[in-house]
Amino acid sequence: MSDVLVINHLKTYFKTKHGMNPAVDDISLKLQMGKITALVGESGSGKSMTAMSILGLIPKPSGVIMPGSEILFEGKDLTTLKEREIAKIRGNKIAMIFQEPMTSLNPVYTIGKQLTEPLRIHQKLSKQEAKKVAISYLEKVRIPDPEKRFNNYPHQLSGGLRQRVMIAMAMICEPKLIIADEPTTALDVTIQAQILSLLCGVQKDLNTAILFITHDLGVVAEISDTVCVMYAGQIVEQADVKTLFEKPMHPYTKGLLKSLPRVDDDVTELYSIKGMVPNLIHLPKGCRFASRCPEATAICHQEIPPREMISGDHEVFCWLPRKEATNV
Amino acid sequence: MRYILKRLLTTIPIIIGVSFLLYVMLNIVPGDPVALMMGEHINPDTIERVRARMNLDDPLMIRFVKYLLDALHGDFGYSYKLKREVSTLIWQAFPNTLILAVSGALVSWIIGIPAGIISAVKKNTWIDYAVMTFALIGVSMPVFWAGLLGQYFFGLKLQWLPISGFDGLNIKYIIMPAVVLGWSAAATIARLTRSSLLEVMSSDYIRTAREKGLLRHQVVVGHALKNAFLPVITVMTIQVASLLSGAVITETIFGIPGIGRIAVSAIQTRDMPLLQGSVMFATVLIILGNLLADILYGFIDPRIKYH
Amino acid sequence: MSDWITTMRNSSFGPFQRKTIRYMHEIEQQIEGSNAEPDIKNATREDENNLLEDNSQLSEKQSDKEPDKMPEDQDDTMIAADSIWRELLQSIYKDKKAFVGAILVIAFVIIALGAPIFAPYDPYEVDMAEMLVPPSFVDGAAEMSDNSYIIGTDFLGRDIMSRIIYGARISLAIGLIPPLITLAIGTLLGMTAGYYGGKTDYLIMRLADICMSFPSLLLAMVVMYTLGASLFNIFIALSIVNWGGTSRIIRAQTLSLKQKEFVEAARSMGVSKWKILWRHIFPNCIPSLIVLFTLSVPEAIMSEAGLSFLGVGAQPPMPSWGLMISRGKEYLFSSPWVAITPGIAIFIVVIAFNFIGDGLRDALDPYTKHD
Repeated sequence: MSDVLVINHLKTYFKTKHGMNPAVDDISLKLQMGKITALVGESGSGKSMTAMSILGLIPKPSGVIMPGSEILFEGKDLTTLKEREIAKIRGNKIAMIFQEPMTSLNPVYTIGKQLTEPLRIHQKLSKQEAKKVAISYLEKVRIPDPEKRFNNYPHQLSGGLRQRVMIAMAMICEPKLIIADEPTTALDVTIQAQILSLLCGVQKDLNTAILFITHDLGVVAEISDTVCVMYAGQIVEQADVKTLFEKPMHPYTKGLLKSLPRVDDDVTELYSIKGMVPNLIHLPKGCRFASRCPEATAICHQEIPPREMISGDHEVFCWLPRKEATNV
Repeated sequence: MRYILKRLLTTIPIIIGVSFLLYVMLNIVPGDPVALMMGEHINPDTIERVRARMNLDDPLMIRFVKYLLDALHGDFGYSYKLKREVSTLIWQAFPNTLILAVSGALVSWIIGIPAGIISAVKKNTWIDYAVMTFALIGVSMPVFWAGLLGQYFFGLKLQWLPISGFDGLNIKYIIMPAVVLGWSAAATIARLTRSSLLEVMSSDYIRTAREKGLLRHQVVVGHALKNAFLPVITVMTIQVASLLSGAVITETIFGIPGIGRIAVSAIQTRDMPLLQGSVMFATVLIILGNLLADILYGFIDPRIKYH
Repeated sequence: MSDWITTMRNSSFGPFQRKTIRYMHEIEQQIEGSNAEPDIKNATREDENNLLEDNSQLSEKQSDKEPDKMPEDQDDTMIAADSIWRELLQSIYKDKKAFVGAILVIAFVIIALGAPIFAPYDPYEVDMAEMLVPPSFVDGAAEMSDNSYIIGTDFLGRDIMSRIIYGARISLAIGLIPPLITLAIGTLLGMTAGYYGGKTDYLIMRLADICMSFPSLLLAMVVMYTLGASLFNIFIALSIVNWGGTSRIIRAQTLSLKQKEFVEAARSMGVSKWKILWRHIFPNCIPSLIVLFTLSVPEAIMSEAGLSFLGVGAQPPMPSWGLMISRGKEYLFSSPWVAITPGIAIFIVVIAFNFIGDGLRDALDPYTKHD
């Protein structure tokens, strides 16, 4: 199984008036060909910033990728590439789908012009050739009447259709990796399901890796192969989807799972994790989740927890496994 | 097309309303307008004739309708002070005002748009601060004062340009009035272009364009400018009116025989038909200009037609 | 988005007509919430980023909050006048530009009010022997006259400094009174139109359209023709010419406020229409009115100067700044100080108000800030 993209110790910090904000703080993860990796977390946990770091689109000059970070893609470290070089990768070998289909398309240009743009930039196709390819992709994402839609403006399309266009646009250069940043959050539930199944189909077709960013564990269970749970800029637990849902280790993951509404449960009130995400500029000394953690002990507040490998690829960033080991 | 038609239909009542308001305001001046116009020593016969010519014996509404119908045929009445048809005077002055306004507008675009773009692209650098400081100075400077400064420094001290006067399309005489007139509009356009471009640059579709692999400058040119110009265009059209207002003053300073000069001198000599004609002409021109710009806007923004 | 308004502060003439059109356009867009507009939703894009950046402030604020002041307890029916003023002062204090502007404006007000104290000479005193004496710092000045005039004398031997100081009174009054009357008319008509709707609305808004179609300088000139050229009539002209823009903005706000729960609640309890307008709707329009006011003060001052410059405003021997420039321009080439110096006064006052306007708009305008 080959890794498409490897992130090692990625740190993306933001300069603010009050000090450095470690939006992404030492993240390592691998994305494999043909697999969907979900990145789960609350808003503000650094999911989207991880994605933006991969594409080199961190807002400058406030955002900085710290030295020591590595994002390896096809043997190159993306963090060291020049703007021109990384631009050749964007939309070509790594494409992105955003969460706001309503506003992610330029209102003053036709769907066709925007859809063919990656082809025209990266593959230098002529207008006619690009149009042919684009229409075939519009068909692939099951947009009815693609010839007509090609000449439409974004405002003439519904949200679901626009997201299909966005997916077609991401696919059009047959990228190695697609980053989907909450692609279904802004859509109706029924359309969400359609878009998700479409995305899975695309992934099977092209055998791409997908980094799926979401806060919705339900969606994660449905489509992903591997899951990374992010909290306050760090990955707190990483496992394949089955393990994570069956044997979650980190109290934060457990909390997230408990807060999912279940059909088989009779609980009247939904569980919610108490407290709020700590201020990233003035971080606590020990574990970042300690103040909200139901299982925290003294050491959790004092020292940064170790990264514990539980089994094969199940990694937890927590004191719990060690404590259990000593108790038993 | 329906959009254009709709805009046309809403414009007509506004033109009628504007004319009516203007007519009423100018015709409620106390005293006999004829006596006011002609001075004291005129014989009653003349007064009678003039009153008949101006339909003064009819009720106000009838007079207004008659005036409007005449105006539609290009007849704005007769200036007794200058002993000429008002329309003749207006048509003589109009090209001069047009030259001044168009060159002023050009100046404002040529300076304002690039300045705004540069300022936005180089946000928070010294270039940005310099441009924005100039813009703030620009919007705070009274036109007439800027005109006098120009005359003093470029006309008298440096002797680069003629101090005043007008000679058709002779560029030497146009430069200074055009810059004075366009300067503050340029400042406005620069500020607006900057903020509009910055706002567009932070929008989702610009991020999409960047994600496709376009470089920053390609995104600015290819994706952002067209969107950023939409509000700028709106303002430019509104500015047609302010350019015309500014032209009144600029014409007075530089001695340009345009419509503004006519209106000002008509007030000073209390030449009512001339004032009425020139103001009405200018206002209707502005309304039509706005209409034209709205239609143009519809062509640029695809969303307009379908709303 | 907010900058659109600033930028509308445009040229010389045409009291707030232009920028209010833009401003109003914006508000209407937001209120109608046309989804296709990119600018409304783009806030979400930077969400993640903002959230991160604001995290610290947010938690600080949370911890600062006393328990009895939790958000639910806050009465959202109106913005407390107290908080408006505090925000206003805070924003002036935080923003350096606005701070400088505020100091200049305060100085302007003090000078205007205390003109007899500050003016070195009688502004009306004609002295043909002291005609066109240059400013005291210019070389030849001492030879021309025994008296020292800071910025010289005009063509009638009057001290220009004293005239500018007295002229500040005219500009102050012009800057305050017509904009206030304009806002009052605009608010009244705008609220009426927005609240009553139907024919009333249609009539008022068409009238506003008509008024706004005129280039406002020309309209003011026509009013001056009808009333006759005098300083007092400028007050009238500038007061009645520009209400259109205000009324549109207030109407738009009234329309949106009308549907808010607290107005519905008041109505269901049988509160009278005027009371609802005055007690519930008007207070929520105050922030916009303050912004409009700061924008219209410099425009009014410029308009008066322009009208007086054209000879259709203040009449001699009034020390109106515009009139002084107009009368001095005949001596521009021999004695430039006569015409140039009053212009500096106008420039400083206008730029001071523009500084404040820039800062206030960001702080106070609910429509450009949070929505």
